[in-house]
Amino acid sequence: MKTCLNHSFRKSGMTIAEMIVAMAAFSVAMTALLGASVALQTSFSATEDYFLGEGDQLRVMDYFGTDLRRALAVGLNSDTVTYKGTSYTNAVPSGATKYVTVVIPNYKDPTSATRFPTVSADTISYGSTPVKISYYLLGSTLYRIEVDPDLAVGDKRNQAVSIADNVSDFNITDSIVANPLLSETIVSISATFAPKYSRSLWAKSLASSTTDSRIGTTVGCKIQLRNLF
Amino acid sequence: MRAATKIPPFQTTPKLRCEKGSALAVAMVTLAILAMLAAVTFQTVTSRFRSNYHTASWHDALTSSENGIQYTLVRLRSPLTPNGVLTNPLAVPGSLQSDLAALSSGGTSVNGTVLTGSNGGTPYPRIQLPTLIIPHVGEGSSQFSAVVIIDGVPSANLTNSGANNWYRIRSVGTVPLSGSANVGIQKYDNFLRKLQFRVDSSGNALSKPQAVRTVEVIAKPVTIGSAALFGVTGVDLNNQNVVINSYDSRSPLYSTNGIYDAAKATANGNVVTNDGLTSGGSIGVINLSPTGAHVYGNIATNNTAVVGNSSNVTGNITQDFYQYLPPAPDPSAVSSSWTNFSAFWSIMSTGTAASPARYKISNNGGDLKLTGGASLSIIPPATGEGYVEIWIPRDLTISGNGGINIPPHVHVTFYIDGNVQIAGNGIVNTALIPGNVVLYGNHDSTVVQSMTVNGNGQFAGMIYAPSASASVKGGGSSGAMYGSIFANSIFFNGVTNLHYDSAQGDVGAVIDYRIASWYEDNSLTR
Repeated sequence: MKTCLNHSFRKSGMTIAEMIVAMAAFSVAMTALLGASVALQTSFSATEDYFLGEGDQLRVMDYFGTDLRRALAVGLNSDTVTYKGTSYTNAVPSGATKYVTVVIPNYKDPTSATRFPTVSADTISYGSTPVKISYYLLGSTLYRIEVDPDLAVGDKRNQAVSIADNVSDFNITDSIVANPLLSETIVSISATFAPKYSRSLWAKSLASSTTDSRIGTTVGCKIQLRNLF
Repeated sequence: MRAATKIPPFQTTPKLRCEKGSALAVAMVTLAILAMLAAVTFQTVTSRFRSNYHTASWHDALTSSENGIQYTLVRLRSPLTPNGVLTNPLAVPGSLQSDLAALSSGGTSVNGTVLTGSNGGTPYPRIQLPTLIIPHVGEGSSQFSAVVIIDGVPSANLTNSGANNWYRIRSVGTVPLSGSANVGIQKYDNFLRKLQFRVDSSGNALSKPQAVRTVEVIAKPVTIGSAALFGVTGVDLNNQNVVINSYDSRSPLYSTNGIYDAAKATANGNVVTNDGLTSGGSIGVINLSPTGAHVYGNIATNNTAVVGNSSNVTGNITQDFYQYLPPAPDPSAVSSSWTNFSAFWSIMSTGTAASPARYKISNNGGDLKLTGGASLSIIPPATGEGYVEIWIPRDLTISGNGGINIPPHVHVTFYIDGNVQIAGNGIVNTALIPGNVVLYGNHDSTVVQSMTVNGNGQFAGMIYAPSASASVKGGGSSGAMYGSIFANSIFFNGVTNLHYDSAQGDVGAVIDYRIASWYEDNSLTR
C-alpha cells in the first residue's frame, strides 16, 4: 500500500499514470452522464410529442364533434353546403387539399344576445342566415374558419385559425340511419397525424398515404348529427 | 509508556489529506443535473397529463348538460299520463306546462325559481329548475351538476306549427377541474374549451376551476297524429292495392287548397310498430304482402324484419323504433259535465276550443246506431271555429245511408268505449281536414275493442285507440282515407288508400316530447 511520506511530497501532484487513470475514469463517468442526458432528452422529447400528439388528436375530434353535432347541414369534401335551398360557401385557399363545410344556427344577434328561435311549419330558425364553418387542410396544418354573417367581413373573428399541426389527412363519411319519428344521421370522422417520433418517417408519411408509420396515428369517432332528421 | 503511544506526524497527516477528494462533489453535481432533468420531464409530463385531464372534464361537462336536458324532458313528460291515461298537461296543476302557461313575471312555481326573460323587448316568465346534482364515481370530480332553465316558445314565434306548446330548454353542465388552476399549454385547447380557472363567464370569482358547457334544445310536442299508421303490435297491409302516402295541407306545394292532390303527393306516409316488448319479435310485424303494398314513406319496427315484398316502399326500413303510446283519454276525467243526447235525426251545436260543447249518447244504453237514412248533423258556428266532444259509452255503428255530417270549421272529438263499425256514408268530414276529427278508443287498455271502416266512403280523421284492433276494408275500387291510425293492430285490405296529412303532426293530444333542435353554445367567435 502506498502511503504519503511527507507533506511536501504530496504537494508535488499526481504522476502521469495517475492522471491517465483519473482522466479515463472521468471520461467514462462523463460519457455515462452524457448518455443519460441524451436518453433523458430523447425520452422527454418523445413524451412531449406523445402528449402533444394526443392533445392534437383529442382537439381535432372535439372541434369536429362540436360543430357536427349542432350542424344544420353538412357539405362533405366541399367548401359549399346547401341548406333550405340556399348554397353557402366559405373562401378556402386554393392550396387546400381536404375540406368540409357545415352551417350552424346563428345563435347570437349582432349585440351578442342569444336569439329566441322562430318555428315555421316545424322548421326552427335562429336568425335568417346561418353561420358557416369550414375545415381545410393546408400543408400539414388543419384550419377552421367560422364566418358569422353579423360580423364585418374583415373582422378577425371571421378569419381562419389553425387548430392543429402535423395533420396529414382527415375524412368524414356518413351513414344514414333513418327512422320515421326519430331519424338521425351518423357520421364517422377520422384524422391522420404525421408521426413525430422520427423525422424521416414523418416526411415519408406525408409523401404516401399508405405508409405503415401512419397507421398508429389515425384516430376516429362517430358523431350523431342531432339536427339532421 | 507515553513515548510508546505517541503517533508520529507523518502517520496522521497523510490520512487526513487522502480523505480530501472531489468524487463526492462530482457525484452530487451529477445527481443534481439528473434530478433537474427528471424534474423538468416530470413537470412537463404532469402538465400534459393535466391538460388531458381537463379535456376529460370538458367532455363530462357535456354529459352533465345533456343529463339536464333529459331530466327536463322527463319533467315535461310526466304530466302527460298522470293517472295512466292521456291527459292535457295544461290541465294538470303544478305541471311545468301549466306553470309556464299561467305564470306572470314575479310569480312563484313549485317547479323552481321564476325568472323573467326578454324576447324582442317583451318580458316573459321562465323557470329555473333546482340544480341537478349528478354523483360521479371514478377519476376526476365526484360531483357534476346541471342548471336548467325552461321557456315556452312564444306564440308569436310559432307559425303553422300547431296549437301545442313548444319549449326551449337551456342546460348548463358544470364539472370541477382536478389539480391546480393552471391553464394547459396548448393554446388551441384554450380557444375551444374555454375552461374557467379564476372567474366564471359572468366574471364571478370561482373557488375551484371548472369546465362548463351549455346546450340548448327545442322540445317539440309529439302528437297522436305523428305517423300515418302506428300499430303497437303490428301492421298488416294485405296487397299491392294498398297505398299509403302523404300531403301537407299547410303548403300549396304539397296540396291544393289544403286538400290532398295526387299530383302533389309526398312520401311522409310512415308506417311503424313497436313490436311487443316481450314478444321477442314474434308478433310485432309489418306485413306488406307478397305483392307488395305501396308505402310512400319510411317503415320502422322495434326488432323484427318486415315481412313480404318491400319493393314498393320508397323510404328507409329500420328496426330501431319504439314509442310508448299511453291509453286514450278518459272522458269522465276530461269533464264532469256532459249533456245527455238521445234525439237522433237531430243536430248538435258547437262551443269554443276552451269550452267545447259536450254530448254523451244516452239512449240504447249508450249505443249510437245510424242506419238507413239516420244521420247526425252538427251546426257550424256563425264565425270562427266550433268544437264538439261526443262520448259514446258503447258502440258506434253507421251503415246504409246513415252518417255523421261534420261541416267545415267544426272540430269533433269522439270518445268511443265500444266497437266501431263505419260503413255507408260514414263520418263525412266535409272539409277533408283530418285534424278536425279525432276518434279516441277506450281508455281501459284491458277492454277488447275493434274499429272497422268499410266500403268506398271517404273518412278523414285521426284514430287513436292503442288497445283496439283496426281494420280498413276497401270493398270497392276507390276506397280512400285521409288521416292516421294509431291502434294495437292494423289491417288494410282491398283497394284502400290512406293519405296522411303532415300537418297532423302538430294537432291533437300530446303523447311525448322530442328534441327538434340541438345547439351547443360555446361562443367560439364571441
